[in-house]
Amino acid sequence: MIEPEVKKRINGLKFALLSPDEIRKMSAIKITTADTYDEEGFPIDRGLMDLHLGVIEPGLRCKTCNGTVKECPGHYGHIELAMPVIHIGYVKEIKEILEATCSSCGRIKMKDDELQVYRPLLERSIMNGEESFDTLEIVRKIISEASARDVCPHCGMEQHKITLDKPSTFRENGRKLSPKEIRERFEKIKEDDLIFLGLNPNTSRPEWMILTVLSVPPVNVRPTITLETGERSEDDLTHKLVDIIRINQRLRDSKDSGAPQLIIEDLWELLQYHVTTYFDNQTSGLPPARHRSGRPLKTLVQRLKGKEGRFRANLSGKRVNFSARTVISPEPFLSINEVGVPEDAARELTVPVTVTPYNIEELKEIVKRGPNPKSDRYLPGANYVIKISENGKRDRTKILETTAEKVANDLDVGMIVERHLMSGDVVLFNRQPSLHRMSMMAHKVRIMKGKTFRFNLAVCPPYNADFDGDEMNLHVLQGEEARAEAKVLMLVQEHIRSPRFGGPIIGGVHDHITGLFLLTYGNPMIPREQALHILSYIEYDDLPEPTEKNGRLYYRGKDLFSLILPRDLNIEYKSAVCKGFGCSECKFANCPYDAYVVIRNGKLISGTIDKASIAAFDGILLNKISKNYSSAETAKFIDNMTRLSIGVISSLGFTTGIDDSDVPEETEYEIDEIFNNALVDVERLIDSYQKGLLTPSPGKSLEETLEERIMKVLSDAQKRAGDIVGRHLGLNNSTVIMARSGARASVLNLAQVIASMGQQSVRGKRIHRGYLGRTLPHFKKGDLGAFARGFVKSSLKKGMNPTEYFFQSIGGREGLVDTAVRTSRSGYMQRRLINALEDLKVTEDMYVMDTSENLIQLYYGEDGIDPTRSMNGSSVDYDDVMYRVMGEDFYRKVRGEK
Amino acid sequence: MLTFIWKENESKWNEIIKKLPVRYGVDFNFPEEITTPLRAYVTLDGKTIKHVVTINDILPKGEKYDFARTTKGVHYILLIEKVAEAKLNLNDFEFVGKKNVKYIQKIAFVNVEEEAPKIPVKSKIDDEIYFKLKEIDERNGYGLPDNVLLEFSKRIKKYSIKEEYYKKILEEARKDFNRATIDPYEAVGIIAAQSIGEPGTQLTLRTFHFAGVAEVNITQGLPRLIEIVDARIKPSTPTMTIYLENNIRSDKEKAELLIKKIESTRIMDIADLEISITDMLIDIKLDEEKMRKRKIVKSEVFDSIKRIKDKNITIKEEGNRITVILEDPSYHRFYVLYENLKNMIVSGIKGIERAILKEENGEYKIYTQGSNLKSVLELEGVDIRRTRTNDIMEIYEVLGIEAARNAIIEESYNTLKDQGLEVDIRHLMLVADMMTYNGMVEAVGRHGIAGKKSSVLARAAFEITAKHLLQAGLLGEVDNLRGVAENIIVGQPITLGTGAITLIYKPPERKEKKR
Repeated sequence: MIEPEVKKRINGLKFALLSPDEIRKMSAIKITTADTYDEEGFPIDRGLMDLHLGVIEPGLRCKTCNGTVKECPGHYGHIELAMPVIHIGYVKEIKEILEATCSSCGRIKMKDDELQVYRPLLERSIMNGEESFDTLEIVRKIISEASARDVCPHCGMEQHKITLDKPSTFRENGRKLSPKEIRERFEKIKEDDLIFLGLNPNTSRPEWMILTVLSVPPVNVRPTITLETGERSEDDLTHKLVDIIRINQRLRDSKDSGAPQLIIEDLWELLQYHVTTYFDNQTSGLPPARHRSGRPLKTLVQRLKGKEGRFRANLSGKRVNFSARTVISPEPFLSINEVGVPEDAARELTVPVTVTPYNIEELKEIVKRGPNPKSDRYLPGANYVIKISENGKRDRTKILETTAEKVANDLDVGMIVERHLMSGDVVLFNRQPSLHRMSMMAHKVRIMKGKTFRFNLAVCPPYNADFDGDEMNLHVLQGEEARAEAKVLMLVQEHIRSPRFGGPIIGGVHDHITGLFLLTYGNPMIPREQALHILSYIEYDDLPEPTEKNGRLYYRGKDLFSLILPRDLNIEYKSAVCKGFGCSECKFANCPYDAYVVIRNGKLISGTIDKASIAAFDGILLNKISKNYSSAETAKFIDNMTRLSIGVISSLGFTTGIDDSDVPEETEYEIDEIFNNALVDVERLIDSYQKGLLTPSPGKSLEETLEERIMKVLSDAQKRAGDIVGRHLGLNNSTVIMARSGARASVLNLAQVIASMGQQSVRGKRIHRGYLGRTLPHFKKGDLGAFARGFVKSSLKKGMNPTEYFFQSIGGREGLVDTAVRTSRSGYMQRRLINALEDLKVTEDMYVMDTSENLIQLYYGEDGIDPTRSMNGSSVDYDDVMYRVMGEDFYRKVRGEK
Repeated sequence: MLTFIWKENESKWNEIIKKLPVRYGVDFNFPEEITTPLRAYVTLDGKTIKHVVTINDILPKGEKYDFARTTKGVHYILLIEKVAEAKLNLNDFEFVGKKNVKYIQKIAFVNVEEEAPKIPVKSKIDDEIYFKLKEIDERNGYGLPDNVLLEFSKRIKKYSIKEEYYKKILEEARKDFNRATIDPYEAVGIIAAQSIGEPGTQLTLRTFHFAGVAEVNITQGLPRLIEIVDARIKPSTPTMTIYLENNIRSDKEKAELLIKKIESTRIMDIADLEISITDMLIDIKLDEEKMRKRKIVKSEVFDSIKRIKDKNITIKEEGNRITVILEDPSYHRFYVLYENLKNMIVSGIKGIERAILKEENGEYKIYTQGSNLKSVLELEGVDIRRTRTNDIMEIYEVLGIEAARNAIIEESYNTLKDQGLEVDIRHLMLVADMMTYNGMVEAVGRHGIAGKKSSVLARAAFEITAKHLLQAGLLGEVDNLRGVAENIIVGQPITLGTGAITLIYKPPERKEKKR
């Protein structure tokens, strides 16, 4: 039986100021020597590497706890400072307190009854930790009010002006206030008053902000690095501490020997500098302390701060074991729930399995194979065996090829075997940037030959992956609970619908759409042999009825597609190709272009399957299936759909080439004329502008009006050229098929290939920068014509001339820069959004609360609907409901039949 | 507002309540300041207030009355319209002329804050089929939201569907609805943040685009979205769409007159200013052409200059020239005067740089560059209901926090929609609610929500790490590790989703098989 683990939770963390006494109390040893190691490389007593501070070298034992490297957590030491110095992090607070309190009696310069008003509120928030947003504001108000008084209301002493010389020198009426004096003043402040200064009397005293003792962190925090050459290199913190001790010693010696005040002050300031940079080496107004090599030292604040700091790099996110990263490539024959893992990776990634009486034989077999089994077929071996002894100690031993047999024989119930990854294991698969939860999903492993991770193409959209060299990460789950959760909540099929818009995010892409278009458009007849070959890719129940023609048997494309539909599916909608025909009136199921999809009882009766049916984001059919059927059924559908379409497209064949952009000569003339006319129009506009005949549009200057009109003339011409191209190329053209079915590209792109690249722009305007009065030396100064301002008349097929090519590159470059800037900006916005909203949850009563139980919404989304389960945001699928109630009657009504 | 509390005999009062509305004769004397209709208060025991009374009018004696408080003599007659239950104490009131009233003998006058005027209810639903559906919905306890019923009603009308289907339709709809409800403990915040952030990379960066009207620039795409979540005080391109009231909606001339009132014209827009430092004078040369275009007459300019409060200036007028002389040898004040004069508004509303009339859907609308909601709403002829601005903080100040919340939702939704991105409105609602639940509009980020988190660790992990840790030391803060970020930092399961519950499987005790 598995012993129930005692799970403890940390209840809370308390923050406080360290008092000098506290620092001494928690110190294992007082550090007095500025050196680290002696000639033999042994830590010097009372040096910064003293063995009382913990051990980092194997073989030695800690003098405080007698532990070894693994056992000793490290211990703090301390340095007694010869003179007090200011803690640089508290300079602002020290100034405020100096200003707000009396220099002679130490009271806040406000009358008691003025202060007491705030006591209950401050006590509640500071002493009892109740949440309050304005604590610091009240404190600031008190301080500013008290600071404004020139005379102490308690003892009547006149007060002087305190100024701060950045970074840490205080002056009173120009006279320097030494940290010692400040400390003495702070000592006089009454405990009762602390609360009004924003200090919690239980945890802090103002004088503790002036350091007399410096805590020395354990060696584990600042380990010595031994290079391969045997040379030792100390941590930045150690370097800084060496400086501090050295100056501290000199200061003490000078003080004891009665050196002149000037020398003592100089040393004191130097000590202040070192202590300051020890805390924060980026203090404004101070030159950063540098390493011998000239690199600024990374001291305490730098260790914590920023993206590479402790918080964000090591605490909020961690590096993990049992993970792998490699290039990804497509594999249409995998299910969307699967991921292909290369054998090499699988042999490194392991799953811990506890030995039980039920699996011991199986595991023995696995262990026996060792870490590197040799066989034709991939068989899992094992890398480690973990033995847990009575006292809970874990003994992890590596299995070697030579020891495998013996380890297997010694295997016993209760031990843990780290066996290789096997087909069927659940792993997490991730592509960065992880922008949404679908960026990390659980897949089932399929061990494969090769060196890349492979997955079904339908899963590209959620990861936003392509195969131009993208790499992805894979994580092997190590616990039973994690595996169970991943399987139930994170499996790919559970994420077919996106919470962003309530539609499918996993679905057909590119060739999937083209493939099914070829299969269903016009319901082609496919010879029996070819059809059966295609069908061998998918799972289906019964073959449809074949049709006979000229003594040969054929299957209809729509019948083949119907095989993968759920039996009880009923739906109708318009195909994506519908758009291009521009009918004035919809004939619904009798569409002459086969662009109206009707599915009855899982049979495709009419219509073309394209982007509007099965694509990720836009697939209506896919949306319906994923909403009304289980996730497993939907996954099955997508698997079949992708295989079918790949089968079709590779069997029927599909290619596009330069001849797809061939148009008759007349068409070329037609296009040419359009552009020539446009160019004449542009010239005319410029002419009337130069003659001052142009009337400006409201709120615009003459120049802006001209630009606007020119842009319009040219883009109209481009549009008309596109229309002509579209008219002349039909659905027998591969490129048009891709564009019209929604697989890739658009008619506009086709126009760019055939007709013209059109106007290039920077920031939405025609290109105008470059030389004085012109964009390139090829043009006359002041030329406003189309060509001089980035209009590219040539098409990609014709080829551009040098100036055109240059303008085209300008436009292209802008796009690249834009993308680069955008990613960083939107990344930061998302980080802030996540930070603001991460704590929100829906309660059992459908409230939305954060984890401090602030009420954010009374009813999630005002209707309690999960966007993932909604139909593009609406709680009810209206048409479906009405169809369910009224049956065929409903669609008859929709079509306007009686 | 001045009102009063009076003491009443319990049995008589109960009688009165039963017969509302009543004319009640009382023996009080009322000061002149009292105005009707008002809300007065009734106490039965002299200490606690049990009822709030709506009095429509106070009539002088002589009129008829149904009840009288005493038989001794009626001074006034109260028209009591309504009585509502209340639970108030005497110290909830501010008494006129007295402090610490502990008991009311007969009557006491108090000052109460005036109730905010009621905002008219949204356009009433006027839809027969909707009412029928609503009735069926309520009878069967389906509890479907109005938008679902309205959507069905729309379809029912469009396809003329028979009434016999109504109930069945709603029943099926309820099934759909139930299937789509959200699970408890779902981390909706993170989902919302991801849903808005993820398409961020697809938004354009191009700041300016001409949306709606070609003449008005509007910040769009990512910069606009960032602006909204940042809760900036002023958007980079404030703009308003002003709708007009019925009578001038289709009258171009009247609408143009309104434009003149809206579009602000500064002196520098219609005149050239010259300064002479030696004479400390500013010469304003009015440009007649520009003035004619903006329909401004000289007297208006003169009036506006007179508004300058500096007493040391003299103003001279000479044809198309106005000369302002400062009789104070301070260059600084001269400079300030010049700046003030330059930007002096001659006509129009401050902050609105341009207003453009546009006919759309058969009515005239005014689009503006620059926004000043308060002043525009005060103008006559402006349709208050439909007029809108994209300045969220202004909406907050003028119309309040709920309006600001709606504005955040609408603005962000439209920004994403204009870019062709589909984001569920519930995510935007959540962001808007998070930004406003405190009663003020707070930014997403270190100066707003993230900076006010209760957890030290969460704040330190976000931004300005050292400051938060040091401050926590002074305040002796305690981090209760309730949030997500804190628990991740200390390495504990978070308290959302499956981490919010503790579920233990207790295996059934296995009975030993006896052999």
